[in-house]
Amino acid sequence: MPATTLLLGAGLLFQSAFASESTLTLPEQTHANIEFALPKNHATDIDGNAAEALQVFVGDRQSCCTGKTPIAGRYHIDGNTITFDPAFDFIRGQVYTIRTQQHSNTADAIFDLQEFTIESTEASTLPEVLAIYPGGELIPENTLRFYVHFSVPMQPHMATRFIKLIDASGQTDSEAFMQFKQELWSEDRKRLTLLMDPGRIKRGVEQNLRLGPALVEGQHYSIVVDAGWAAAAGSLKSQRFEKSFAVSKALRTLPDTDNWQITPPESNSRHALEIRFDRPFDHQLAQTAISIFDNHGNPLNGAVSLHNHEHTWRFIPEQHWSTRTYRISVDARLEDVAGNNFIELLDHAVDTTSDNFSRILIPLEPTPADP
Amino acid sequence: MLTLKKAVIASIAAISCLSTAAFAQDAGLDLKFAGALEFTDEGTLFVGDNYNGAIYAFDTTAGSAPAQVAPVNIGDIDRKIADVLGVLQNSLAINDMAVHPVTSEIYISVTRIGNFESAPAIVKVTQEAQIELLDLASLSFEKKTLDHYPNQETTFRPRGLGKAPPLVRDLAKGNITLSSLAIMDMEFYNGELFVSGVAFDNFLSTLRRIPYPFTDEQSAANIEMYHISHNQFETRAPIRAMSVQEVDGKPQLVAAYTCSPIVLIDLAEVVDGAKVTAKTLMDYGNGQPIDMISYSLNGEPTLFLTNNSRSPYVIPVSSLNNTEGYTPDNTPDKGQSDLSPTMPMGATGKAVMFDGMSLHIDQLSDGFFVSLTRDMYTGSLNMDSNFSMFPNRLHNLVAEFDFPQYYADKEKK
Repeated sequence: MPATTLLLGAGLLFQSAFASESTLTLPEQTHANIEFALPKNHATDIDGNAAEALQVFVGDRQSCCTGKTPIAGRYHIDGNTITFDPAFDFIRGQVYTIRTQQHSNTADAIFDLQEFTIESTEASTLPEVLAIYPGGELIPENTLRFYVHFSVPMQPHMATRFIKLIDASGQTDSEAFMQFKQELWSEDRKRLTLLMDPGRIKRGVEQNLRLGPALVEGQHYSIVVDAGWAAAAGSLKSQRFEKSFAVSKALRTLPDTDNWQITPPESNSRHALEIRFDRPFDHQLAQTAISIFDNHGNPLNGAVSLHNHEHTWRFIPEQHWSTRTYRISVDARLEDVAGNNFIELLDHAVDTTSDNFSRILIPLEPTPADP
Repeated sequence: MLTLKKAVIASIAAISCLSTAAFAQDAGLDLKFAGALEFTDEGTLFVGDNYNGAIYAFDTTAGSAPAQVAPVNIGDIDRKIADVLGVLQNSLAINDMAVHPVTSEIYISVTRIGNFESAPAIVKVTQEAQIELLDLASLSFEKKTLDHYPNQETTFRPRGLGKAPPLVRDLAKGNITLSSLAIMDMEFYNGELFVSGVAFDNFLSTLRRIPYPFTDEQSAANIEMYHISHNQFETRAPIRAMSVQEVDGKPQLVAAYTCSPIVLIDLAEVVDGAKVTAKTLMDYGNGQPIDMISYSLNGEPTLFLTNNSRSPYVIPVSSLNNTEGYTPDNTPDKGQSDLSPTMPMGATGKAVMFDGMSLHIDQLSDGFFVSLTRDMYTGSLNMDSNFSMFPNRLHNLVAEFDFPQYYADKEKK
């Protein structure tokens, strides 16, 4: 977002030496700095006196600034520009006043007061659907969950009104998704989980027999989020969003890490560890269910990301890989997009027995670095 | 493609699944909470962090002593600290205060409450009564992680008064973790930092002993004491305020507890793993101690003890010598509150007048205390300096001496 820049000072007020305009750049983010550029001929006057020329106070301009202490922070001077780097982020919704000195001579100092407030993100950001996962254009017939990601927290209890599954002929399937009393929102209410009615997926149960599966192999569908869904705060409403996809064969085998392609990273590097799955995994679970441990059993910090429509998992460590053996730990409850985990299939016969284990450990040896 | 054999682990939850969980590997400053403060004689600043379970030692030894220590008075100091931190005063929590022994600058540890997270900060009040943010990132520091640190999940169990059900305010206590009391007070004595607070396990009340400069060494002893007004031995509630004094010819810790015994702990007994039974010297009956200042009054070593619900007490250290100590066997009237004629019990010193209530107090100089004082009438929080030999504060009082006729009549005579 471009920062707001103000031109300050009417030249008429000043003696000729200070007659040209200065510019003040207001912050638009809580962590942003404040910049104050003085006219060139003014620059030498500010050296060592930056805190006099630019100060930021809590409160509005009417209450500024007698008896008040300015906000703590660091000053940087570059040429004729003073940058104020506050010690703490600004508080959203709080009114602040910037006091700038328009005259270098302290005896005749003229100050300009400029208020600013950083609005809450939710009130000023347009609500929109950012993505729907699984992300691929081809998803299995027995796909269990969809995740709808929004740009801001959304009003709850609206999902059935705004979200539809539509087939290629434009017919809406109003019973495709499970309807709960409570919608499945993330804590920040920006991610909604849509669960396909498992009764439609599980073969031979009543819903499946009566209505058939919601998604049929070889067919095309869209998930549509209609326009007009309001954000949780403010009055802005979302635009229409549509995600189209085709349906492939159902996934009816247990996932197995033996079918994964693991590309070990190079030691002494921070190169990504990349795992290529044999099938798409659940977008949410895959981000937390796989961890890397060092040879002392300590978890590695790093950034996890998913690519290639949930077929590729990537981990970039905060620290360099050593030459030692690491372990990739996979939570056995990690599910593919059809809800099958490493222990049992979502749609299994009643008398199926399964092993009971909690995680799968895979040794990982970084490759030697090139000499 | 990897050829090493994979292993399947049976159902054990031994390792965490959260690879993104905080894991100390950053060499930078990771202070999460600025709580209890204490200085060495040279001015190294100790800061207790109840979230990280660690004590940080910051090098704040650079300053020099003022020619003469000036009393410092600042009205509405909470609003002025909030100004410096860029928030309103209701977004500020004041945690502790300590005076730098060399520069006489007054350090205040606070929590700044932001939109979604809170941040620790330490401000210092200069001798010119300016409030400045201490730039912690610019100071060199050492970090000492405490052993036997309590978990961050267990919370207090709310209770009502007697058989009355707990009120909303009582229930709120159920959201507070025991670990918030893990570092209650710190006392630097003779190259060692003594830290009171709660540690893990059932025997919670703990006194830690850590040499400084930090080494690999640290000791933690469990403290048990006989609580006169509760008539029971207590091992959980921690020491709130303390001071090392020469009592009975050896260095001993004078320690004050809630509701409200004062006990003596022989430093020689504070060794790692020990269970120390303190000697109970006195009990006021009720109230929660805040700060204990060691100072000289009329040339005599003296303690000044503040409390959140009683007048401050002035206790001559000499009165602590040669006491037998209270036990269930020799205590005449056990289990009494401060309403009982037998309370306060022991050599409790003198309750003295103090207008308003001190949130934190420390010795500013030989002649002055400095206090963050809550004014009873306006509710404002003010920093004020008062004579240590007469800290009563007369500002809100109107007495005979405030009448002009008093002086006119005196002149006539």
